[in-house]
Amino acid sequence: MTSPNLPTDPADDELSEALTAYLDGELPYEQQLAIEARINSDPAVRRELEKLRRAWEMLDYLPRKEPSPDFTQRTISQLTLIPLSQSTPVATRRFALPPLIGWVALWLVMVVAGYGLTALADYQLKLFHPRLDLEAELPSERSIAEHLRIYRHIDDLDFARQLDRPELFGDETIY
Amino acid sequence: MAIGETSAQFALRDPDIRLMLRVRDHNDAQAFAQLVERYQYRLVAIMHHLVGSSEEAEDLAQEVFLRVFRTRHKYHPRAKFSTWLFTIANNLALNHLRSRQRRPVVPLELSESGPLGARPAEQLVQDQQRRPTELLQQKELAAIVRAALDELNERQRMAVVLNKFEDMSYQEIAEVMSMSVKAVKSLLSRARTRLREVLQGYIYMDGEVPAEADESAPSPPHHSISEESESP
Repeated sequence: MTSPNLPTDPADDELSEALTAYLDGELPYEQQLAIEARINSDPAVRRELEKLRRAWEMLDYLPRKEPSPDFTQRTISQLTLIPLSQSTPVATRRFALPPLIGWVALWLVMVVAGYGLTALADYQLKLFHPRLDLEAELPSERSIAEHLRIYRHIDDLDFARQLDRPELFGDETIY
Repeated sequence: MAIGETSAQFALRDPDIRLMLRVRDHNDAQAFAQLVERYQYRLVAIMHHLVGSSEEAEDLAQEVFLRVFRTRHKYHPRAKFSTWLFTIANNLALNHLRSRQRRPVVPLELSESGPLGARPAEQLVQDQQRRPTELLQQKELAAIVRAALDELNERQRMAVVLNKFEDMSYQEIAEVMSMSVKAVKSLLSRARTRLREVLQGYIYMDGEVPAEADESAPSPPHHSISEESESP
């Protein structure tokens, strides 16, 4: 089997990548077959592969450092230095409202806020435009209109009030 | 990570994820201690390979665990817990190595005259069983390989350590280092080629005990590379 896509120089980047991936078992099957054919047919490539493998194995000479016996204890003791505020989100999440209740609560807040705003606007309207309080003024206005015929013959309002006594004219009120 | 896998599926399969979820949801210090117990050996070893100093390695490993606790509310089990842990370790270690590059320090370990630091009991037993010449050779080789590793840039070193000592696939390294698989392949190839260049003169020292008669020889015995190919 030939490997036409592989470069001829063992120092070539593409070939080095292929050899490294081959050593790591990371090559797709077709490329693996191609590089194996190349290794079998080319002594220079075979030699390069062996050097790479042996250099890699030399890393085993590095001592493996182990943690101190009290490593876990020291690490756990550091947790107390982490501010408590960073722990609160858990409690918040635990007591967080379910989505449906949250939406209902939001709707209630909006209703109350809307009512409040309307009342506030109404109050301001009355405060700055008292004559627009038609609802409150309407009964007296209506009473004046109804008794306008009588008022035309009266010059003194106190006299009219004195006449408005049931014992004089019965239950009928003038205004 | 397989596409479409849910957090629940990951949590069911990975006991470390279940522990981490207890830490996230209940501030469970016991679960956190279990995670520290499980991963401290791997993390300290990796950090030591990266920085070359026992003290710095422990400090960095501890900082990784503390960062895990600080950022526990951001944890979502989308992959293996170890992938998330080593991603944090990668970020911390790379930052540390870059900052150290700006203010270089002289490593005190692996020198023949200085202290070697704490070593596991089993290694001490092995050391006692070895002859002094063999022990010296081991230490010399360790110092040489350490120097070769220091020749690599930070990212190459990290990829090498994860691949060699954590036995991570290119895909896993890509996830931890936030790179493409293609970039990892290229990174590891350049790293291994560089190691081969730096260790060129020692490649034939395969750790075999030299004969007593050869002790005075100026260089350790060489073993020529066989022309026979050896598949991995």
